[in-house]
Amino acid sequence: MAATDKPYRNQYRLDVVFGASCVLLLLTTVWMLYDDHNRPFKPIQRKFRDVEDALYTQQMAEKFPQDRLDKIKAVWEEADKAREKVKKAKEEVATKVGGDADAWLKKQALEKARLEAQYQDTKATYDSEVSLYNILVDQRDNATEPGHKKKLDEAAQAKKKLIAELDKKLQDLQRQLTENERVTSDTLAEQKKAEDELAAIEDNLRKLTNDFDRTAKLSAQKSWKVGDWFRALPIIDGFASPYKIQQVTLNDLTIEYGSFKDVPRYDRCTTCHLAIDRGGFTPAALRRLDLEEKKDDSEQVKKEKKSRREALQERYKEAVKFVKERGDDRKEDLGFKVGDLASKVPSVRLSEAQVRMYSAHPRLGLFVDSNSPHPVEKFGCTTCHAGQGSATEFYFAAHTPDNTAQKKEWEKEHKWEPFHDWEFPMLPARFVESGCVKCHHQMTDLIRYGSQEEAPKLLRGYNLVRENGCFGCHEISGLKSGKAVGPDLRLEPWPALEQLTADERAKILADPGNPPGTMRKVGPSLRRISEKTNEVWARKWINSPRGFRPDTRMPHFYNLSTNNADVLPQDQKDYPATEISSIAHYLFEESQAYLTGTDRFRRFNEDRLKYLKPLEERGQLSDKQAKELIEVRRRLEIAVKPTPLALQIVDGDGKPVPEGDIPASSDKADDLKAGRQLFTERGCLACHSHAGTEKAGADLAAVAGEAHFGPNLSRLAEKVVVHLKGQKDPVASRRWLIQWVLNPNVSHPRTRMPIMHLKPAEAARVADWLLSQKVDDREFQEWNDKDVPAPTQEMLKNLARVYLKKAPAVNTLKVDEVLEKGFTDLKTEAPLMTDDADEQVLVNIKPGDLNDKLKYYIGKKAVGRMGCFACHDIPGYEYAKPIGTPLNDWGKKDPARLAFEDIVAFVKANYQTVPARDDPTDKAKPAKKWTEAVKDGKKPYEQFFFDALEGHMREGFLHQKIEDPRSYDYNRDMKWDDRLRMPQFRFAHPRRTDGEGDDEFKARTDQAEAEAREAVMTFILGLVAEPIHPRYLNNPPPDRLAEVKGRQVLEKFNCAGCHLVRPGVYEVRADQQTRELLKLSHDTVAKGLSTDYGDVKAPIDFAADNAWGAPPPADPDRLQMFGVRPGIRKPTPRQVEQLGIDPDRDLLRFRLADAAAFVDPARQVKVFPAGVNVGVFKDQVVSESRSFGGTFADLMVPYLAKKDLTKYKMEGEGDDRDSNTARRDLPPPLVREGERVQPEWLFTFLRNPTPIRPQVILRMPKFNMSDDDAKALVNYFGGADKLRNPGIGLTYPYLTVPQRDEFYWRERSADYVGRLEKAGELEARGKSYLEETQKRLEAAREAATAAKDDAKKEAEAQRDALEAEVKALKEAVDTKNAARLKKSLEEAQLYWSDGYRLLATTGKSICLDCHRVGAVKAKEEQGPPLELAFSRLRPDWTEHWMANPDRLLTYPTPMPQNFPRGQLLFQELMSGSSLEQVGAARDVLMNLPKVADMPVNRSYRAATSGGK
Amino acid sequence: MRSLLSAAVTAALAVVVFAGSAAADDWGTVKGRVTWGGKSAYKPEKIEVTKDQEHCLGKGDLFREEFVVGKNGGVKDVFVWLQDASDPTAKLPIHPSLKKPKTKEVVMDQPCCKFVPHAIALREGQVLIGKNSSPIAHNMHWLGGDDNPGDNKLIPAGGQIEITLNASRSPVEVKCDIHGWMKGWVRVFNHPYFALTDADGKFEIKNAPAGKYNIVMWQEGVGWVNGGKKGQPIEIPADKTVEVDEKLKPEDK
Repeated sequence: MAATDKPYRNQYRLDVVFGASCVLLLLTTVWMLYDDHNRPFKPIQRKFRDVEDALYTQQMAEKFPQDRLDKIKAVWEEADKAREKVKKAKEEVATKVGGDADAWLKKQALEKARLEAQYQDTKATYDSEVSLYNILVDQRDNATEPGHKKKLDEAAQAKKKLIAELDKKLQDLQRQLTENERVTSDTLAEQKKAEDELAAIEDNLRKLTNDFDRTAKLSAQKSWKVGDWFRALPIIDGFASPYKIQQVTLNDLTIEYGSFKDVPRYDRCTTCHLAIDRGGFTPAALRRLDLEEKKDDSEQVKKEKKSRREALQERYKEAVKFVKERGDDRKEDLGFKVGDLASKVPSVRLSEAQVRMYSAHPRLGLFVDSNSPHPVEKFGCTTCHAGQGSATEFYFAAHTPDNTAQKKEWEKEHKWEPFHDWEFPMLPARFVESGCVKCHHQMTDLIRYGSQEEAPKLLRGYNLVRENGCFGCHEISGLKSGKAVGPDLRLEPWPALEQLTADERAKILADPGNPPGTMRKVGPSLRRISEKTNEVWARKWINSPRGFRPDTRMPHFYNLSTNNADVLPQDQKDYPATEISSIAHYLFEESQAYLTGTDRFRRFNEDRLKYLKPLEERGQLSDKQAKELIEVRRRLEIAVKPTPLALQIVDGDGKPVPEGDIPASSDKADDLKAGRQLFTERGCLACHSHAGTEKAGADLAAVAGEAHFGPNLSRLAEKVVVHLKGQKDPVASRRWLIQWVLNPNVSHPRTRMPIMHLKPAEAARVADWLLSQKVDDREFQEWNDKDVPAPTQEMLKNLARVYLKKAPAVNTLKVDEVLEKGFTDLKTEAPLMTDDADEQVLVNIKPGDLNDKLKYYIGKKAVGRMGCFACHDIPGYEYAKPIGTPLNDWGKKDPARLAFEDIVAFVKANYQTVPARDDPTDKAKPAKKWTEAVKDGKKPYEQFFFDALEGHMREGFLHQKIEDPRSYDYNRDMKWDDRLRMPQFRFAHPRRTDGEGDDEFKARTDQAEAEAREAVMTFILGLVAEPIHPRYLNNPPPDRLAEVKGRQVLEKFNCAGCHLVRPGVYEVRADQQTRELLKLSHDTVAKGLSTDYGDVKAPIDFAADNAWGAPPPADPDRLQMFGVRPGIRKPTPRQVEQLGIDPDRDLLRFRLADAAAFVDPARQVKVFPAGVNVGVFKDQVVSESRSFGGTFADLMVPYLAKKDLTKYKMEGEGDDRDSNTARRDLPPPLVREGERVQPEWLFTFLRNPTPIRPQVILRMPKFNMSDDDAKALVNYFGGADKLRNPGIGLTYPYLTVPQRDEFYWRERSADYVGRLEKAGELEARGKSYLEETQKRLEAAREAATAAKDDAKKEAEAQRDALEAEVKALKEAVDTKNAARLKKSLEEAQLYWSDGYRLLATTGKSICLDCHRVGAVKAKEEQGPPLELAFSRLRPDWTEHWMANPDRLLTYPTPMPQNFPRGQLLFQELMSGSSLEQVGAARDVLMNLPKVADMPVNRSYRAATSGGK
Repeated sequence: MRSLLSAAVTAALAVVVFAGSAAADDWGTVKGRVTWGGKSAYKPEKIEVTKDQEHCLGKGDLFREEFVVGKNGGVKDVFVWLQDASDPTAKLPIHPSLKKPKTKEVVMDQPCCKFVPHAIALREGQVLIGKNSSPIAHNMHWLGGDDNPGDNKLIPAGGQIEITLNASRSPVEVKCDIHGWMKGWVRVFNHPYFALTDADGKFEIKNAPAGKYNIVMWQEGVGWVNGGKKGQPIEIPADKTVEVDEKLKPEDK
């Protein structure tokens, strides 16, 4: 076909198609751009611009310095004048230089530049010529040929001349340069001075308006301008949009997508949470942005808004005027265009959801801020909060509401629904602390500043898990394939490390990838239970522990929602009773066998030994058998056969107590009183509570202790009832209790109960009193009347069948036969049965024994099935493994793998859902609906958890699992041994308050339990076992680590039960009135402290010690203070009068434990020393962490005061009432313990405490503590004090005492004589010393005559030495030869003997009023013997203590300030200022044995202390 | 701003009160006696002296001084003072002869292991001298709440210290820790209308402003004696004497 230009398709049609597609393309592009314009985050960002605009503009109005305008204007005038001056000076310069100053200056500069260039140039030439000259000289000196040498010499001479010329030129240029500079600066001098003045004024002005200018600038920047509007338009914003996604990339904090590779984390949360790091964006500030009255506002709100709006607008108008005046009239450079400011203050109304979205993160000092420990750039958001960080939409980010109200709000506002496609939805606010566990594996590292808990809920959960022993069944391992993944809570090995040989211990500790667990079982050992109580009691207890002791930690295993007799299927109805009786039977039978050395563990091992030993002797052991033999021998070695209490009681040192030392049981009033008194005063109440002490009686005051570390002992008398052949055996019961009180380790080697150093007679009194405390309240009677019915043989067989049928070795067809008469023919009945099988008990039994054997068998099985051994040491379960699901990664368990079963139906049937748990106005009170639900008889259930359960979320499952662990069996048809096994715990044990009704108490208990449960959940949800990049793990530096680890040991032994360990931390807002208040207190304190060593006016002597000195506050508006014994009180009339404060305003008052600095109203930094009381306004206290520990001492003070008012007088009024003499006799506070004691001493003391203070009412008990525990505590005190008080240069765990250095000794001796000379006392002291020495000589002469044999020689030698000394001294004194006298006195080491005199002169030394000094007795011993100081105290602390004891203790000590600064006391004992005397006392104490042993001191002591 | 306002109010109030006081030209006397009203007759209680017996008991036995009751039933060392009927912090009008305290110093000595005098009433501006005229060492440990923080100082034999105290509603308790039984009391006032009962239980406040006031009494053994810390109303007649008698009931403590 010929070519043609006819197109293949119809052109018109093509045009139409093209046109249409163009239009379509355009439309889709527009649509795309439009859609992009409306991406969900964009409106949010646009709205935020409004928020910023409004916030800054409002702030600008608020910060407008209206009240300082006069001042500002005055400064303006000053500035104008200064400017005028500058102008004038400039003009003067101009005239001086002939008109044009600028031109002249330019000329000067040009000239200078030229000179400089010339100088550089010449210098270069000079340098090169010098080097050429050097070469020439070199060549010349080396030249051999004379002609050449001469030529070279000439050249060199010429060069030298040239160099000289150049040098001159250089100097000349230098001079010209200096001249140039001088002329310039001289000419400009006046001008410069004027300019400096102006700069200072402008600086001052800036200070006045700085805050305002900053907000004004921000306001101008953020106000909407035409350009902004344009760029934000749809479509236009597709290009260079002001709105974009914000993102943080975290390459090391990966997300673990199941088995996939770990993927970097991208957090885009800040795309919407735009002000997350901006301090001013508080929720309150954001809510205040709304100025317009709306229809739905209440009248009150409308009124408030109106007045605020009007006030703000008015102020803003003024502010703008002010800015205009400055910008337009005064031509100030404001950094923005005045025209950019909004015409009026904008108003923005935000919903609560928006307020939350736009507000800053709380506590920016701790989170998010780039200077905080958790900057957002490093940690992102989802690391802690979880959720899908890469999402930019509310739904996809997997937000989780915190409660029902929030959920409803979100459903309305964000169309929220649970997002199931992301494995880790965001943690609801109530569980947000779970996120901390990821990096804070020690848990105690979340306690900052000593007592401030940063994650209180999480820490509570952790402590509850620890105390309730969850780890017994659920292993919580801190390591996963050698990497740290979380807290480590695992049972310790059995036997405990301390009970092993060093070799075995080393073996166990050798594997760093699998270190042994460290947690002790939380329940008592049951090996000797038959010596403690009886089977009937045990049955009732297992059946209902809380029925007997409402606040016990032992959980309930029976009578739960799905295993009580009402709901169990017919064939299982008898099982609980059968099982309980069997368990009790097993425990008692094994216990009795253990006491006679015939328990199964021992018998089995003995049998094996019997079998293997002959093989060994014949050399026929296989490798496996050889290993077994070693193991068997080891086991038998460990299993020491106990001595029954019936035969022997041992004391605290493990020595048998003679039977005669134990008095007979007594119920005489006096003996019972003695028992109660011992129980009350000897520290039992630090860990236990007892209803018997809560009422006054028998002449003793009431002590209502609430300690819950050990069990509540109120009903102990009903428990410690030993049966002998079915009859009560009071003697045996009493013996058990006496032994327990004397030395609890006998019955429970791993108990944390210490040895209290009671004498056997005292222990007997305590036991008598405890056993006399009968209870007969209704609750107890109900429990007591309900014995578990004894099982019939049929019932036993039924339950035994369940287990036998599943026993691997047993022939199932023969089970019924076995149940009739036991195993009679193992070959057919159980061909594969092993020697250690549980079924062995049924082999070859006597006909009458069947019931007991079946019970034993069932009991053994039940103990194993339910894991009783997780908390108790039970014979037969020595090596049993935890039975529960490990919890180390439960926090990220896939909900799809959780068996929710029919749980929603169960909850609907048994509970009543309530929207909220707490009363929103008072979180300590239950919500109204919650209380109503309790009244209706159903348990209240928080809607939040019901929703979580319905939505199949982890939180829901876990919550219900803890609340009622067996409920997942609901409506299931289960075999008995397939049923769930987890028992029901109760974590909270509130006490009924006076006049509280049953329903109220129940509601409050349920609420407290719900709170505690949430705390436990917070911990468990945090266990995600994600190996975190080491960069992110909280790896505290050594001192901090010592504090963190030591805290765990403190908790382990409840040290804080007795001792105050850390002071409280108070953060206080320092507004103007607070500063005035503090200043008044400071003035008052300063008046009284003229003799202190770090004068309050200007710290002098011990400023580096934080008892006296404190750095100025980092933020003068926010003070941090450490204090103890807080109390609320009203201002005193003096404070009211002087400061004009409201007399009803509460003050929080505490005693400072550390010095505290503040800035007074005149901007002066002032320091309160430690030990003074400070009051601050309660409403200005931002955060308050109570001090850690000391409950027992606090409990005892009023008790002692009532007991002996003369000795323990209470001082002060109201909250202040206290008795320092009582405190002296109680467990001491351990604040500054690290500073105080020598580490070696503390270690020894902890392992084996010895008495220190003579008058204390109780001694430090001896704890069942390992070397490692003691070491951790020593390091704790060292580390904590080193961190808190860096200025004192504390070292641990080793310490050198510089005062013990030989050099120091000599130096002090010389120094002291020098001091005497300077003070003009040398001659007099020389004379008196000569007299003293002469007296000694006489005594020595007599001694030498009287002595015989060997002693004679020694005495004569002493006499001769003294004679020589006297001679030398006499000569020096007689000839008035100062140099010789000095030498003699130096050699006599006068410093040390005079120092000793200061401490130990009977009748003169003040120390001896209260302290014994070695052999020199005290008038009345009120303090520790001073020789203890040598090994116990650190030198610095000793010095500071003697200088002013009141600074270093948390209560006003009875020890006075014996060496007030600036007063000359005791000069007759030792010459020197008070500080020098303090130093001497310290030096002597640090060398006491050596000093006391100096011959001069020996004889002197004999002379002054009556020959002792 | 608020503080300014309240300061202004206080100032205004002060002016009003002052104006009132300026007008008070009439003065009267308050006299009275405090006697023992315990259920059983008072028995002095001997102190068990545990150290320095030779010196401490050198001038005879020491007795507890929580209550010091004379032969005729008068109670010694009861603090008595006047205060405004409605506002305990208000300033009282002061008689021209009493503008300044008469002596600068008031001494509390420890001559024989007890504080002599056992109780002292001071006017602000007077200095308390803690003295030890005995041959043994004592310390002086005083505590007085927020207005008088206190201290604990050694006073060697023959020594003395100066203590400056502020007027306060809380008493200052003085003790010696070396001799645990030693106690003393000091109260500091910012006006001259106070008194301590003598050995007969008698007291007298002269030149008191006439009008309606409250009389407040405090004794260490029982605390506030009548009407609590507010006291009881009395009317002081011009140029006359009003008598107030009070019973001290230790059981009310």
